[in-house]
This record gives sequence, C-alpha cells and structure tokens, in this order.
Amino acid sequence: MNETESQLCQLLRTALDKEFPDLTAATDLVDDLALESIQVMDFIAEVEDHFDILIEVDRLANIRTLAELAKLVEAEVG
Amino acid sequence: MSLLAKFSDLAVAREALADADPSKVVIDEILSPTEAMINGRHTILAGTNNYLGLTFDPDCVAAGQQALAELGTGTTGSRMANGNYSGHRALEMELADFYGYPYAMVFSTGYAANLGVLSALLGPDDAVLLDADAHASLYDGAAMTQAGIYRFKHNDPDSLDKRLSRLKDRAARTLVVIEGLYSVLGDTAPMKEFVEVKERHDALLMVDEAHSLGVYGEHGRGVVESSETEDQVDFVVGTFSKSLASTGGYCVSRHQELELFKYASRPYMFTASPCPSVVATTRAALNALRTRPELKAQLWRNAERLYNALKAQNLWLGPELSPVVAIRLEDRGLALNAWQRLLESGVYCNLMLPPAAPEGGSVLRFSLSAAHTDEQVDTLIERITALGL
Repeated sequence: MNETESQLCQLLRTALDKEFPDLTAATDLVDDLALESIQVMDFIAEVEDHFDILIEVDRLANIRTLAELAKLVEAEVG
Repeated sequence: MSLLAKFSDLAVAREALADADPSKVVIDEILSPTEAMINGRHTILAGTNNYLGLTFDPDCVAAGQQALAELGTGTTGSRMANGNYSGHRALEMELADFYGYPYAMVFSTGYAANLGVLSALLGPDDAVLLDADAHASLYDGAAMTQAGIYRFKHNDPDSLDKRLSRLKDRAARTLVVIEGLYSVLGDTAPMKEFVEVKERHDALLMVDEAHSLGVYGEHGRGVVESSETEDQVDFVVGTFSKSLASTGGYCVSRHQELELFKYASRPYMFTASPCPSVVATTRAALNALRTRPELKAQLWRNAERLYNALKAQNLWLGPELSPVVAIRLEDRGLALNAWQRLLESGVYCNLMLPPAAPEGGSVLRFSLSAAHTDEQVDTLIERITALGL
C-alpha cells in the first residue's frame, strides 16, 4: 500500500466513523464495504479537503477500489 | 448480456419490499387536498407537497374549466412553434412581476426547468458546484452539460469557498446551485453566507425554490425573500407542482440574458408547452398566493403543531421547523414497517430509503398543507405516536 492509499484508508475510517479492519488497496468501496452512494460521496468530500483538490463527479463513476481512487488523487495533486 | 439484464437486481429489490412499496400506492379516489381513498380506506394525505392546499380551490378549478372550454385540451406544440399562447406569456409576466425581476421563463415541468436552465447556461469551459443534497433534477441538468460537475458539503459555505478557490480562474465561470428548502429533511440554506462566498469568487448562484415558493418570505417569494438576498441571487427556479397545485416550472432572473435561453435550451424547445388549462390554474393559484396570506399562516400553524408534538417525543427530526417534517430512522426495516403501519391506520406520508435519504438512514417525511384541519393534525400526531418509535 503506498502513502496515498494509506491516507485514504485512514480518511475512510474517520469519515464514516468505522474501524474497517481489513482495508487493502484492492478494497471495493461498494461491493466490499456495502457503502451507500451517499456515503461514498461524503467520503470523497473529505478526500478533496484533505488533499486540497477537486474531483469531478463524472470521474467517480469509474472508481471502485481504493487503489483506483489513489491514482485519481495523485493525478489531481500533480 | 442483454440490455435488460440490469433490471434483474431491481426486480429482486422490488420483491423484497412486498406490500411496503410506496410505488404501489394508488389513490383510488381523491376527496380533497388532504384526503383520499386508498385500498378502500379513508386516508389523510400528509405527503403531497400541496402546501397551500389549492388543488380544489374554486377559483383555480373555474379558471381551468374556462380555459379547457375556450382554448382546448392542449397546445400540441413547442413554445418555439405553435405552442406559444398569450396565456404562457401572461404567466411569465406575472411571475416576473411577483418576483420583481425583469424576466421569467416557463417550462413544461419543474424537472424540465432545471434541465433547461442548466443546459442553456453551462458549456464545456464552465463548472457547476452543487450542494450535496441537491435534487436529482439538478444533478441530471448538470449531467446534460459538458461543464465540470463538483459537489460541496450540504449547507456548508466554507466547503463551497474552498472548492471555488481550487477552481482558481474558472470560479468566474462557475454556477453554484443550491435549494431554498431541502425537501427530505426540511432544512433551509444559509443564503447570506452563500451569497457572500459566490460574490467573492465572481461566481453565479442559482436557487431552486421548488418547496419554498409560497412557504417562505413575507410575500411568499421563498427563502431568497426571507433572507433578503433577492438582489444578489442570479437565477431562481421553481415548480408549479407544489404551492401552485398544477404542473410546470419556471426560471426568473435579474439578468437580461434569460430572454435568450429559449434559443439554447433543448428541454424548452423540444417539448410541448404547458396545456392552456394548466396555465390558467397556475395563474389563479399564483394570484391566491399573492392575495391570501392567511394560507401561508395556516400552513405554518399546522407545521408548528406537528413538529413540536414530535420533538417532545425525542424523535430524530430535521434540524429546523418547516412544513416538511421528517422523522429519521436508522433501521431500514423499521422505517418500512412504520410507513406500512401508518398507511394501514389511514395516514399517507412519504418514505425515503437509502440512497435517497441523507447520512445513510431512512426518512418518514410528512408535508403539511394549509388545508389540513386541526382535527387532521391531531390525528397525525396520534397515529405517529402510536407507532412507538
């Protein structure tokens, strides 16, 4: 797990106030964690604020795993 | 895999709902703005958005009947073709006059109004920042454009401010979209704070007052009026399907460019215009809204009684008193059961399940009407209390 992925795991735990003990880079936010879409969007808002970036809503449609989200974050951070 | 394979999951979900499926409710007979026969049972309607209770108003009904007799059943055409009647223009002028803005544009539905305004205004070089809890029609309208679509945290001007800062120069080509009254939990937008942020970044602000027209503001012009931000908001959109008791939508603005939107708005151009009878009843309802302030006063009396009675029971309610009274329940099964039991006891309300409800919970939503009697509000309190939530 790289640094961005680690930070995302921590943000997920904080944003949703849950332990999520088995998070990996391959964790699927919807299928593995049973998150509702609204919970995913709330988590994304925390990610944006933590990294001081903006993520277009349309780009999230193709994001399922923490690894995919980390790649998107790294591209936005530049 | 066929195109239709995607519906198999939906079919399973629907089967799981069984009879506790709000979409299966049929109004067999509508008796009044607040009563109906459902499944052979006399039912109080407490989830209709019929805020001023005008659906059976004699003046509105008479206006519709006269229009049917004199102008026929429909225009059969777009406003850009044969569907542009003098009544449509008169309604636009009356809306503009009501708001004190120079321009108004009428659409065939409130949904079309949001799609129509957003798709006319936004292009590929632009951005739109939507409140997280904005209605589906606003997200759908944004999706119709090629603008960059972003969200900010619900009712959070600081969250908006950060995101406009991140847009840098693009902030000046950004439309911020919020609602006046949010219809799931009944909370209102902090308008002055949002206006201050958008002005600092040279962005534009659109406010959807679908649930706040006729409900907020001394003259019923919505949260924009009650917050004294009418001179700073750029676009107000709304619907005829709640306080104005019909169907249709509109946009009003202080910007003269609104007059040109009709040449750039596909949801305006490529659909039939509102029926003459709908225009007539809407105009009559707008007149009632303007001349009968006692309707709004009664609506708020009813809302206060229900909200305060439920608050005293320590139920998890929306954050502020409004004619939308929401009870939030963590457990989805409990919410379904409560909704079903209420219906069987003769009370109809709305049920919001995830992902429609904020924060992942479920919501029993009640919308009060000026037409609810004291006895009906008493009955609502009694039947909700009997649920033992």
